Amino acid sequence: MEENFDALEVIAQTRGKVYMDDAPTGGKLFPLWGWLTAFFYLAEFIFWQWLRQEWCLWLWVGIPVVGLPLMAVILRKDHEQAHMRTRKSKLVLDYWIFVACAIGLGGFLFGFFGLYETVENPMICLLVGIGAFITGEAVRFRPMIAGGLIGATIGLGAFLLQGDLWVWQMPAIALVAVVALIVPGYLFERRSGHGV
Amino acid sequence: MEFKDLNPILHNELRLKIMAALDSLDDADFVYLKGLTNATSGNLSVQLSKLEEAGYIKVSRSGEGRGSHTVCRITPAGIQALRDYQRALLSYFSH
Repeated sequence: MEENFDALEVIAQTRGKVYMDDAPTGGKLFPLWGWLTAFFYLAEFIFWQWLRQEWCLWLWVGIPVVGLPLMAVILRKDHEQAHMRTRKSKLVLDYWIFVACAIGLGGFLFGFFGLYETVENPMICLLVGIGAFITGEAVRFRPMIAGGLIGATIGLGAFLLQGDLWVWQMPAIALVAVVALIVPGYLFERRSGHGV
Repeated sequence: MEFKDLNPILHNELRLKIMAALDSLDDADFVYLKGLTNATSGNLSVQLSKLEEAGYIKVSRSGEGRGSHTVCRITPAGIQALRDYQRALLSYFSH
């Protein structure tokens, strides 16, 4: 049976459509992790300023405790809908898994070795900023790229907050969460919703 | 002037759409491909089976009934076949 269609046009149009559909669940996950990060690190900052007790510095553990079940619910809902994954979005996902492991492991190790206030917090800012930048590049979304760059810059700046100033690393993380996760996440979600 | 034969498996609009989509993706499920191609479930199933039989895609099925999930992924043979098909098409224009 002979087919009459413009094969090259079909290939180009399909690839274009796939590219436009590449809106990973990041649009929902960015604000989720952003709000949790901002909330728990601001709480850590406030309680530390108020009580000066060691346990205040472990409040960040609440981020995965609350975030992982919520993320599971979001991913489950997403799984019930049409699903596809580009190679780029898989790479981005791999990077965020690495960030989560690095932050979790680093949090415990640096906490036990007393490096929490020198390395851990600026490293979190830097990794989150780079992650937002890479994600923004993958989905070609400028606000996310810009947010990532600003976040990574704040992360580099946070390395300078040492000595008595180290407590300000905690609001710095909250600020990175706002500029690199919350704002780009909502803007990306809005763009996806409008099908642009 | 000699024209290369077009691969009959790929020279079908729906199968070509599926292959072009999977070539750009790591994987895609049945629901996504159905929405992308605007094909009926029956027709899409048939074409996916043909591509799978040709060794161009790998289809993984999990679960049964309403909760079943079918995920498709292009194989290296499928990528090569699509490249060859595109080259054959382009050779038509260069003659």
